Amino acid sequence: MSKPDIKITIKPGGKASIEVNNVQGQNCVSLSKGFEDLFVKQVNERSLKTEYYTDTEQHLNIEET
Amino acid sequence: MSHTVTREGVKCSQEGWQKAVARISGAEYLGVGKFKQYSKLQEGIGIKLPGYQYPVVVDLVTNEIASDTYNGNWGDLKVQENLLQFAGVEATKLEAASKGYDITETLLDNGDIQLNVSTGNSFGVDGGGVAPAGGSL
Repeated sequence: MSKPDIKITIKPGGKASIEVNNVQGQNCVSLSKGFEDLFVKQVNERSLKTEYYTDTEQHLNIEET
Repeated sequence: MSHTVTREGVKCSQEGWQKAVARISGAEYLGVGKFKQYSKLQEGIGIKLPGYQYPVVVDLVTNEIASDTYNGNWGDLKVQENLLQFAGVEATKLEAASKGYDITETLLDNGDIQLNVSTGNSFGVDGGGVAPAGGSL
């Protein structure tokens, strides 16, 4: 699996679109939380992708090594 | 992909605001204090933008920006939009640096700024973000 990364696009005026890639399970939310908190108002609902619902067992195994 | 979300309203440290101001030619970071606008005093971080009659002031608690441009007659609103964009960029860079993440910045043709944050192999959970030995992320 590719390395996890975050793409943040910021418009003039400060509106930011935050996209998290290559993270399985709900860890994607933890990964981007610090960046999301920099922009205090949520404009639209979080759009979850298929990886969000993927079992995180693989992730946890990698974390422990 | 895991998720996408859109947010606005920049929460930026004084260091971040200073860096954002430095990106605008002719702008000046005035520090924390009370600053006079046309009809009132505003308290917070003062920033003098080029062409602006009165400084814009960032509230230290709410992060809201108070400006008095008289509908653009006393200052170009586009400059203020650029300031907010740069503040978001610099706040993001500082956040990435605090976690040890690598970050690259790209100016897009439409004026947006894209930041790519590489988290390495840590998967970015709390306490993660450690760069692999022997190289950058």
